[in-house]
Amino acid sequence: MSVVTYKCPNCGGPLEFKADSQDWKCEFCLSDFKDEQIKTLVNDEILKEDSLDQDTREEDTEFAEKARGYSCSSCGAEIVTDDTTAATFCYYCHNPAIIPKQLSGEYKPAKVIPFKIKKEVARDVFIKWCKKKPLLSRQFISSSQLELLSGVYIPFWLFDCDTRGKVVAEGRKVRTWVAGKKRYTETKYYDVTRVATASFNGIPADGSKKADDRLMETLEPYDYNQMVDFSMSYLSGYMAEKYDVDNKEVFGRISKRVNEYTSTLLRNTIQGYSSVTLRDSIIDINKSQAAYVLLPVWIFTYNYRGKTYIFALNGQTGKIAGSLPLSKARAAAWFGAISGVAFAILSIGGFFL
Amino acid sequence: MRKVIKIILTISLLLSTLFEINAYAVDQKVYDEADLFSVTEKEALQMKASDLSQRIMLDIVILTIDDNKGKTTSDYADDFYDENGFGYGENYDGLILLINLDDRDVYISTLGKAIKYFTDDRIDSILDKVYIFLSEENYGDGADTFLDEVEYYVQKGVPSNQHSYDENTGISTKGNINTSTSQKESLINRLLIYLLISIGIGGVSVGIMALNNKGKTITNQNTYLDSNSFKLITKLDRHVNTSVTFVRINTDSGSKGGRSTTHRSSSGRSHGGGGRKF
Repeated sequence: MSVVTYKCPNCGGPLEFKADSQDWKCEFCLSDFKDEQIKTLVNDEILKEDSLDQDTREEDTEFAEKARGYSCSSCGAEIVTDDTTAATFCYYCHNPAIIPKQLSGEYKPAKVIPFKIKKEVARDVFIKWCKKKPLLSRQFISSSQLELLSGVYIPFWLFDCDTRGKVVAEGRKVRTWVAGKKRYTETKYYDVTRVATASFNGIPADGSKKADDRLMETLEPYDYNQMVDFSMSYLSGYMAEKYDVDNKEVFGRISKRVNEYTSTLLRNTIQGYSSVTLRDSIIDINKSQAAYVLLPVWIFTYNYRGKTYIFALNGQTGKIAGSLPLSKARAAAWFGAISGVAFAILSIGGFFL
Repeated sequence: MRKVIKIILTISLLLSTLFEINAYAVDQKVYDEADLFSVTEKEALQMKASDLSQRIMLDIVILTIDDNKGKTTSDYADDFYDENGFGYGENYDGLILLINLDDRDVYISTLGKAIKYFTDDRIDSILDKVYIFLSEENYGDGADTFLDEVEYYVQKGVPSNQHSYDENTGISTKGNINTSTSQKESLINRLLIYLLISIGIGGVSVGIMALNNKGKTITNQNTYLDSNSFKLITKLDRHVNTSVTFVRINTDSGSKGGRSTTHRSSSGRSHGGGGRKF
């Protein structure tokens, strides 16, 4: 089985999608290619690759369950990947390699948000973010491991849901007044019912077992206005995964979020009470529709003092997800400093009281 | 050897008598110059006052006059107490009840520890009870009630919010300020409280920092909501029940409650107290 590398029509060098200029660039002859030019190139390539794919199908079965082997279209070396990889690099010549089979048929994404943040910017954003964290050890940022970040197109399911919800609650209005030497408290109890419909668009859930769900949820939101029709050419120069969790499997996570959202919206309509206790909440999702898209994520794996930390950075907005290591020494120092200052202020202030 | 023991014994005996003289300077507690009490009343009051004085370590004096000698009631009471050597200990702890028939005034003057026990509010409530008997010319029961009330409030202890307010200088002092040891104690207590608060502030701050040590979720119910798609179909608020409860308000609460107003007498000592007409 073979892979696709977009080649420069001028010199034959590999083309990579550039996040900052939003076009394709040849690293060798410095030619730039715009959207339309590359699309015609893509179509030719796909036709060519599809025929190649047929020839090598037999061979494919010989590989182990998960491992897949491809040969690099530039140097001919074998690229071994797992069964969900859709785009990667050749380990030998570092040319981008896209595996069209992983992105065809039911695995063809409808849309893609191309990378907007390039590697250097992603690194700067991450360093800036780290510097704002007071409990992070200073060694952490200075380490050279920041080179180990990779841009990955993660498969996502975007759900559009129509929902109908009902909440039942008890509302209390409390009034107090003073008459003579008594303070009266009057509590009025109300049965409160709210029924409403709502539509949600594009609630994302990642369709990759490799990607941590919580990490991916922290990256949200993406700006869907910049979403374009899928073209393999956007994957050139990045890694990509295909989904291995289908839309039925992620629906549980989606419906939980829709329930929460609808319930909160309904709860927010209950106003004018001193306190409200929610008794019951019934949310039904009437209609839902899922779209398969690829969203850009920068992933860092960080080895720090024997522990691996995983960070993700939204490849479109630069939002960061992940937990930093806590430095006990810095926590103690901050604790001491803040407590000390507070104590000094209280003591000095206290003597004038 | 025997001589030494003898000397020690005499010295200790001497010391103890000195102490006795200081502690129980004057034995007579009731001075009925206006001749308001019967003989039995006078004896009973004397016994009760003397007994109570020793139990609560406050010198209690009851004085009646029918000639104010040109002094105000409060000055008369202060001077009588100061000039006749009443009071226990270095602060002359004790109090005097003066029934002045000349002006039809009743006055209570306090000194030392008694200032702290008898805040303005407490003196007012004692006078409330005593005054009823005095206006009925039942002076014996009035004085007796005074003693009962004194015992009641001393057993209740110094109010936690007690503070002295010098009406001559306008300076307010917190309770327990008179002795240097308790001052030190309150300082240590205060520093301890500050320390605990500081540790709390430090802990909460570092806790917030720790929570901020990661990327946070910023999506909410509005992020993916199709604008204007939220339609409320039913909005029902049904009143089902009403309950009314009340609590009695304690009117004499607040910071003023613990105040003991003090003034300087002609001898220079600081007195608390209060009085009224009957």
